Amino acid sequence: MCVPPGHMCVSPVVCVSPPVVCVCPRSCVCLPGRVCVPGHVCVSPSPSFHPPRDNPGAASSGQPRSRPLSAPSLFRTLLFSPGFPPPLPKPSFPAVRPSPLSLPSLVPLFSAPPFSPASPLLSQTPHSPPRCSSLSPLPSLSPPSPPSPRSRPPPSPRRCPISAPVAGRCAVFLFWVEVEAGADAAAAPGGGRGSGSPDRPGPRAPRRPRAGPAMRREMNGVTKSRFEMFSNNDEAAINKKLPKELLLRIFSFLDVVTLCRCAQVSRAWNVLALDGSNWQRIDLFDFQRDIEGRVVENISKRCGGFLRKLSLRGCQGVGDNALRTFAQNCRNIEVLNLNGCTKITDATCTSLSKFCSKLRHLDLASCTSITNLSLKALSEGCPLLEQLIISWCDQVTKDGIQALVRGCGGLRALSLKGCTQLEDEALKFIGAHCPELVTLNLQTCLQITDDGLITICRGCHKLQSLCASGCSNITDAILNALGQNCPRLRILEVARCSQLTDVGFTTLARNCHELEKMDLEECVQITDSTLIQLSIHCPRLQVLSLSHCELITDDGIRHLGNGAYAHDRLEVIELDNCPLITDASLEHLKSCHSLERIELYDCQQITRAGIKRLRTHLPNIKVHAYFAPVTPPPSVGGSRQRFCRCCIIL
Amino acid sequence: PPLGTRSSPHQDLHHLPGVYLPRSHRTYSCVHCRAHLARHEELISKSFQGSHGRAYLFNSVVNVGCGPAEQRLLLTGLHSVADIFCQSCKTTLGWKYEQAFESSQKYKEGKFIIEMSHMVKENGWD
Repeated sequence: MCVPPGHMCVSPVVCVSPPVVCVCPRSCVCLPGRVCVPGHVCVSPSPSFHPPRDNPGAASSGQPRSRPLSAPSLFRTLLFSPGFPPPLPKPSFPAVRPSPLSLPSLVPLFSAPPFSPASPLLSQTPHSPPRCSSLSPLPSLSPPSPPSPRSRPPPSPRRCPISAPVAGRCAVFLFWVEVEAGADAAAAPGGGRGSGSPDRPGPRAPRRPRAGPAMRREMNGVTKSRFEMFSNNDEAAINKKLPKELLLRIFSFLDVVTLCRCAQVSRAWNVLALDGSNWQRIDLFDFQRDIEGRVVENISKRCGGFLRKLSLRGCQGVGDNALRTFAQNCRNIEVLNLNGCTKITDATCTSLSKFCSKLRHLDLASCTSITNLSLKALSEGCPLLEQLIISWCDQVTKDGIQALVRGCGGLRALSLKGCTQLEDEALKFIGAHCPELVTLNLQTCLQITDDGLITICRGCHKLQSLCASGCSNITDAILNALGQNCPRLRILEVARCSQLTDVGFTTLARNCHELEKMDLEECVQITDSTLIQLSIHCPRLQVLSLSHCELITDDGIRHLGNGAYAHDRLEVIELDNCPLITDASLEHLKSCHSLERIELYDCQQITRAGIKRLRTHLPNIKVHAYFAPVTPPPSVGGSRQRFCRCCIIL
Repeated sequence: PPLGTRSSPHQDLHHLPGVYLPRSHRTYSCVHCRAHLARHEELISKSFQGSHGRAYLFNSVVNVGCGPAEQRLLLTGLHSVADIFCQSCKTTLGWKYEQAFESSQKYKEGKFIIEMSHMVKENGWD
């Protein structure tokens, strides 16, 4: 809710008399129960600066988010309100990541908290460009001489009175920020910001009145230890007891929402929470519906070279322009998730290629406007690419793949799910140029056949995860090829590949001993023989789906369940739609202590009693089964007249 | 509980944001637009027949809108069903059983049929 001007917070913790007036950074919203630092002067901006407040949705972490959190308003105001510091100048920072614990990184990446124009002592926020603070050593700090309040110009009458000691502390705080800005004179923009220069230019933004020149002159050259600044007697105990490094360390674990809230607690926390080291990874998935291009642009300007991981999953409002700005500002980005950002086109990949050469992971799933041009751009500009997801980008053809793999030879994970135009030719390029490939997903790439996959196996010996579900053309030849070339295979999904038989799986099992998860749904030709081979040769088998494997019998399950390793390893087994499976199978599985889940729906011969018996051995097991309620028998004798439902309804 | 559908027709569900199901386990998504449709835990049976082939019966679904109920004579008898569609791409996916007029079919009431041709299964293993 908007805080009315002149609002007086009475903090239960640090309450002093007379009741102090709180200062919130202008874009903050007073949170109930928040601790006010005495002398904190609260000046609420005019209501027009406050975006409409969202409904506080019931958002607890870990649940599927069905609506944005109430935090978007916080988040938005903090980062996007028009009153925020002007955009940072062209960054001239070296591309080195600051360590969160290094002292110099405490220098705020962002400008100092925006101060209300009403308070006369709050000087203009200095232009702190994004800098790798760890490179510039702190200026040697000699013990300060405290600024005498009397040399300050008298506060002009504004909305809230500020007591002299309060003003002194504010001034000191600001001074500290000013010193830091000056220390990095090289990166400081606007000229004339070097430390020690007495004549500073006038206010850069008319909204922010500068502190009087007298004060500034006095400050220049007078250093004050940062620690002393923070160890004021009036500071909250937490800031006194907890070194800033630890506070920063704690902040580094927080998510965006909590960081924004911390930034509103006090000026000290504002600085620390907004320190660039805490904004190296941002996940906006929870805000997805609120995110427009402008948001992304602002974030990129705030975080600059510090941002390494950004997730815009589901942010359908983000377009090429915003991402271009983002790419220009955040050149150190390594992990970018644009899953579901349906508006973006090839222009985004061109921007990324031009500016973000450090990109390692890129997720473009469902960005259906992406074409081969994007892949060509990425191959030219992002040679470090290790993981690329272009699932459902169905305009991609083999030309794009060819260009991609030629430039990005270090690809480890490639998801081409739903890229239905790809055929064997495309796979041949992958097999030829991606020796490091570990994960490959070709789900529903209907055109591919054995030839293409065999070339992949021959070229990618490190393959660990392969999904070819829905590629119904493949035969045992591919299982042979996997067995011969990819001994490290752990995950195999071949659902609906109904041409596969026991022969292929035998070869596979005998060579790939590391198999952990197998999806054999609708591999209708396989029999118990496959299960026997798996139980002998694949000790690490954890998840096995035999859904619709109609020929599987209890005997195969017996072998599986008796395998020496199954007792400790097998976690999930899916036997749904296997008509020959009976309660005997459940008996065979009773000693698999790690079994967490068993799927038994559509198995006509499984009974409730059998499941109950299984539960006595494996009490924690989840049984996925459904028994339709039995039709009630017709009443005998004393026939009351019964209306059928149709009659009732009609 | 995941967002289900309402039985009243013309319910405006458009303002609701897309529901994302937790990634931990298998999900079924609309093959046309990849909106999440149902968790694997809500699957009751795979042995149903739709108008275009096999169909799955789910206990509950998400991101799905409901049309008006109408009576149809299915293989299993007379039912009152309402067509359901993907909220994000508006493709008709199947139907919801509003009412079954034979007692042996009562268990289907309130449950959803989605045709396999409109779904893609995502194991979430990689």
